[in-house]
Amino acid sequence: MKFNNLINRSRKLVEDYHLNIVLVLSMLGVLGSLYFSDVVGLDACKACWYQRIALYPIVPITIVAQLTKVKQAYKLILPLSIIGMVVAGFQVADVAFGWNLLDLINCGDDSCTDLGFQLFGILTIPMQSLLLFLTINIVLTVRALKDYVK
Amino acid sequence: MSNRINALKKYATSQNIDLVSYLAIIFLSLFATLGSLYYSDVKGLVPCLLCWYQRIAMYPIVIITVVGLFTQMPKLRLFIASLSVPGMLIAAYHVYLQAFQLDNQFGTCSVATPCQEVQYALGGVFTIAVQSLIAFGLINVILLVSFMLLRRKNA
Repeated sequence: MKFNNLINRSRKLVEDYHLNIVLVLSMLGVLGSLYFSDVVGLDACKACWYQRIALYPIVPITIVAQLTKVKQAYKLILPLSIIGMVVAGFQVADVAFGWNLLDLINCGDDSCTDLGFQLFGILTIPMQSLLLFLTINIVLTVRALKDYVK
Repeated sequence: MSNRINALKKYATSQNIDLVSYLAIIFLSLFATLGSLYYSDVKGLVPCLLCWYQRIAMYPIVIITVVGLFTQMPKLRLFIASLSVPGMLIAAYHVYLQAFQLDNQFGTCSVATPCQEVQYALGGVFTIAVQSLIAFGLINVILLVSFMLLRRKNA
């Protein structure tokens, strides 16, 4: 029973603060990607740019949502983060399963698969991106379920 | 003439103003999105860095306007403006760089695809950056005009 209570409280926390969480996560992603491209000097490949197209706008949208207190703003963010996750997932799979379908121009010196920038020794940059989008989607889905369950 | 205008005014309900303005924005941003993809993937012109940032502003406008229209999102104009206004500023800066052939002072353009390079110009004047500025500008005008019309209606 105590475990159930804990789950409910965490769920409520996520539902109430989903915008704050998403804002922090997406800003982390934006700053992180800019760090890799402008500080470290890894050029962004095409797949990276499309993930940026999905990720960067989440920041202003979430800020406007918090300022205007629009209740259903998560509906605007969710499509973007889902698309981002699909692109990231495709890129990770493309490398991991060796499909090599993506025409990764400007990915100079295998910067996408560069093992030198693995977090925790295992997460390449596309994997980090996938994890980030996945987390944002989980948070937003918890919020979305609140409206559609019950 | 003014009789016709008065007769037409009854069609300018709040819902219709919303519908027309959002549909216009969807059409515009979709045209801009597909146009930019045509330039980069069909004609083979490589996007420079400022172009990518304008894409970051423009492409999601299609998605949030469609979703916002279908979910009747309140204050949708503000959400669109949070993307289209910065987009217009970047486009304006880009046009400025191309007009005076200056290099990007933020040091962000690559040697391979410099931002001030005019790769294509419709009619010799409408470079892709200019087209982008027009697109963002039109979206902002539609947002502003529809907002003011609605405000006057509900005042």
